[in-house]
Amino acid sequence: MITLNNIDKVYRTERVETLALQNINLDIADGEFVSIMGPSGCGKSTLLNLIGLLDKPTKGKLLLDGTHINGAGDRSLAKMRNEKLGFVFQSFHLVPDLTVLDNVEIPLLYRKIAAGERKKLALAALDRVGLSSRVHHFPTQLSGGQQQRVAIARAIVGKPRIVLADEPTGNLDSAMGDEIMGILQELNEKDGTTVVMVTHDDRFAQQTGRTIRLFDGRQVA
Amino acid sequence: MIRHLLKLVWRRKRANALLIVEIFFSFLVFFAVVTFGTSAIMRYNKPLNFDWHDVLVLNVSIPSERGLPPGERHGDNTADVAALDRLMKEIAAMPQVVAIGGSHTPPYSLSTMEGVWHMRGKRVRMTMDDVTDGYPKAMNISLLRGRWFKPEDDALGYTPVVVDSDLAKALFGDEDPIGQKFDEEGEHEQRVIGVMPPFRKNGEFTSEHINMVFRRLTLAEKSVRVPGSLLIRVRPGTPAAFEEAISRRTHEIFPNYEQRVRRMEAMRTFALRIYLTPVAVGSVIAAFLITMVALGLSGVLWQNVTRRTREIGLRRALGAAGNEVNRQILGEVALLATLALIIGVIVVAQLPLLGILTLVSPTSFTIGLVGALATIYGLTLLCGLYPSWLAGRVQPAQALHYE
Repeated sequence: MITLNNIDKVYRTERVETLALQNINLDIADGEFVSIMGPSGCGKSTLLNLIGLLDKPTKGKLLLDGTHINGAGDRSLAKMRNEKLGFVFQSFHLVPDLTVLDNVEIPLLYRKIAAGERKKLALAALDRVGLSSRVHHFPTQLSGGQQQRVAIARAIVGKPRIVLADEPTGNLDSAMGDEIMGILQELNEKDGTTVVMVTHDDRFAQQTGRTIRLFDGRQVA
Repeated sequence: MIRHLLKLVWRRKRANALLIVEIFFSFLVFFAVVTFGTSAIMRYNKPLNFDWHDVLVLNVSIPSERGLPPGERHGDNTADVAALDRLMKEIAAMPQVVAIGGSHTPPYSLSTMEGVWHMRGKRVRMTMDDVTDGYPKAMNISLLRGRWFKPEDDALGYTPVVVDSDLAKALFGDEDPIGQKFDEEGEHEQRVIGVMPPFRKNGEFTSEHINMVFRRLTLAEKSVRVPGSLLIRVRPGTPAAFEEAISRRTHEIFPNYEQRVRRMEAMRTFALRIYLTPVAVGSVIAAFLITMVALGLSGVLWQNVTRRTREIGLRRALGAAGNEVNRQILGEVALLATLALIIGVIVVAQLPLLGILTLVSPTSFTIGLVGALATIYGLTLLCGLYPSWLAGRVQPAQALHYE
């Protein structure tokens, strides 16, 4: 499903060159639930950004669902992100001026889907995360856990094969964290969605099928 | 997507209000500039229906009884009237002169006699001048119908008047104006004897429909008010020395009165300058204002994009290509401009009710409206181009962590 071969990522400024990832080799199979762990600054989010096609590797080969993405243009990368990937972020990244329903509809705006169909899909995704009663609320009217559930609904509304979660429980208390973890596990187990999750929490990492550990940009396990 | 943009614009109405106000006022300024500019160009291109070339204007300051109460006025001093008559005849006999005519308010003189007359149950604003028989030849005026004044008109039982076609239309509609009574309430009967094309008394920028009427003035009349200006048409190529000869002869006849000879060309230049100076100043201010607005708009839109970097990064992550983000930002700008312009058009549509169409023609008004709409749309989109291009280049990985 996801293959990384000899991946390096270097950030360059005028004076400094930072090696964020070095020689990463990784295979994630369809339907796996993988967690990525490591201390702060070890390159976890950088790795997730590369897998999520939000950034390009400096060296190495990256294949997503069999497609070599290194030479892909902006438009085809955007199409792959839209159709194959769903994102969940630590800080939710909801648009505050839009209602819950409008936020969930955003990924569908970039597909040729009629307004009625968009609404139907968004309502179904919100029902899935237990937020049917909050569709007309604004993000600021929701708790942190509810906001993250909206973000998950937005990530799955387009029925992607892969969900990438960057510390999805990082801003939540343990009870809400458990709730979010439960939803991700359900997605993986019931729908067979591949989930790749960055986490600091060993407790949540143990609930995943496999843990990849990074240290100073290198894969150590 | 349009519905989505409408929601975004509406829910950010407070943040967008300033931008809408800015676009609205720019539209009003541009509307005014384009409307009056178009009106001025259209007026400039219309025929004057008189000829200012080779015309000298002689002013003699003959004291008048006009300052006296109405009961004590008996016309100007008879000796002065006779002397002026003699001067006109002498000038007319000079070989350089084609024609000479008297007028109270000649073209480009910046003075007019205007008023509202109630005639035939109508209220008509008109411009008036009293002129002698030689005036049409001196100003090279042609007629559409009827005839001009002539010396034999002394024997008529009424005062003959010549009107321009605008006034004839306003007063008599489709009726034949020739022979129609002109002043129903006046002491002396007046009748229309001729119709000329619309007279552009104040020159190239004269407003539409001044409704000109010329009344016959003869120095043979008892209580005559002498014409303040003598208009002398000279042969082409007549040297400036001739002006000096006229001035000298006038001084000999009226040694105690001030007098001045000018070319009508100089009066025209001065009159045009009087009109164009405020227009030029207004245009410079408008251009400055529009430049400020353009810079302001670019700045506000740029700041708007910067403020929304994380949102743009999110949209990129969720599947928006760079050009889709670019189009979205431009779409939002176009929506804001549309909102501001809807308000602007509603305000401008009220102007005809306030009588603006008496100052400019409906064509100028329409051109001004369409021109301002097109310009402001163009300007707004132009100002949005760079910020939207920047938005399209936002890298999602960096933007999502932008603080």
